Amino acid sequence: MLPYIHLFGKVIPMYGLCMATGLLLSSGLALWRARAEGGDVNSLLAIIACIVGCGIGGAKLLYLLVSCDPREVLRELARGDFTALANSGFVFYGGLIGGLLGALLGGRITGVSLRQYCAAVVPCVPLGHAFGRLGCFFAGCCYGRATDGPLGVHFPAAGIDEAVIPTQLIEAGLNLCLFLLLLRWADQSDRRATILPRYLMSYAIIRFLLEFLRGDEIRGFFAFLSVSQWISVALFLGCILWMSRNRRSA
Amino acid sequence: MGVASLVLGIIALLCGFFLAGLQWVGAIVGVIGIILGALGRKKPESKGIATAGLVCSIIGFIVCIIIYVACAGACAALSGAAGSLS
Repeated sequence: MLPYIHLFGKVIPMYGLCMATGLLLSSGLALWRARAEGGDVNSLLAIIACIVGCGIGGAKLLYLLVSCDPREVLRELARGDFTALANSGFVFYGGLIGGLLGALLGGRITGVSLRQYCAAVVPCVPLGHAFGRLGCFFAGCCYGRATDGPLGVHFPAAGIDEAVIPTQLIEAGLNLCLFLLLLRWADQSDRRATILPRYLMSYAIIRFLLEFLRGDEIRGFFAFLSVSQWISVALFLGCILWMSRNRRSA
Repeated sequence: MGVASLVLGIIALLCGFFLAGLQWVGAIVGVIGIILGALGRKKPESKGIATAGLVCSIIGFIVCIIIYVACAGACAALSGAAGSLS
């Protein structure tokens, strides 16, 4: 666990550094790919800004809904107390949903069709996500269940005494594999048009299975599955419905 | 749009570097500055100033993100509440 590093005499938080690195790399790659395909880079940059802004907002909102009492948070905000906003975490699925809504907003603002940018942008999302998970590893959050195995990692500063499965690193590795797979699919004419549902379905499978290895109890649960698992199921089924409808109309 | 982007970019930089506790404001302002800067670059007459605003907004946003997100994540993890990027 390495929450901070010291660089040029400054204390740099690793989680934020990893997230910023992921954002810059994935956005830069998306813009480069769009430019290579003849797309309007300025419009895409505005869309990416909408995606990132709404994504961060969505990630924060879902965390507050799942892990805090929403009424208490609203009361605090009404008093001008932003502690809940400052000290609470983020949920990736909230970011994903917020990002999709942000993309729609960006499309409205710029007046361009989002379909033309999907193949350039979607493969870059798991790349940024992988860096975010590295940040989780350094911060000591989103850890797995306790284990006696050789892969166990200690996070003493996070108040965890036992060795736990490093699910952050596992998910980061799987996201990188997904990134490479999506790059390959984006180059195939028969799979390019469905790159977004392919990504959503692939990540839903990854997340659903990884949740069984997770050990941080703060994430929300409903019935016998975690909130993220329920979202994974809904996302997977929704994408199947979407792809079958598109196939029928084609 | 270019001027607005530059103003927002400067505000984002100030929030990131000098105004402790207002990084989340800087991040929001930075995002809006990036959008306005990108749209402003499409017009030839404002391309230069829009580019300057875009650069300031991107730097301001990144600095704010590093500080704000890290504080949120670290607080959540270290206080035992966990679940930063869940």
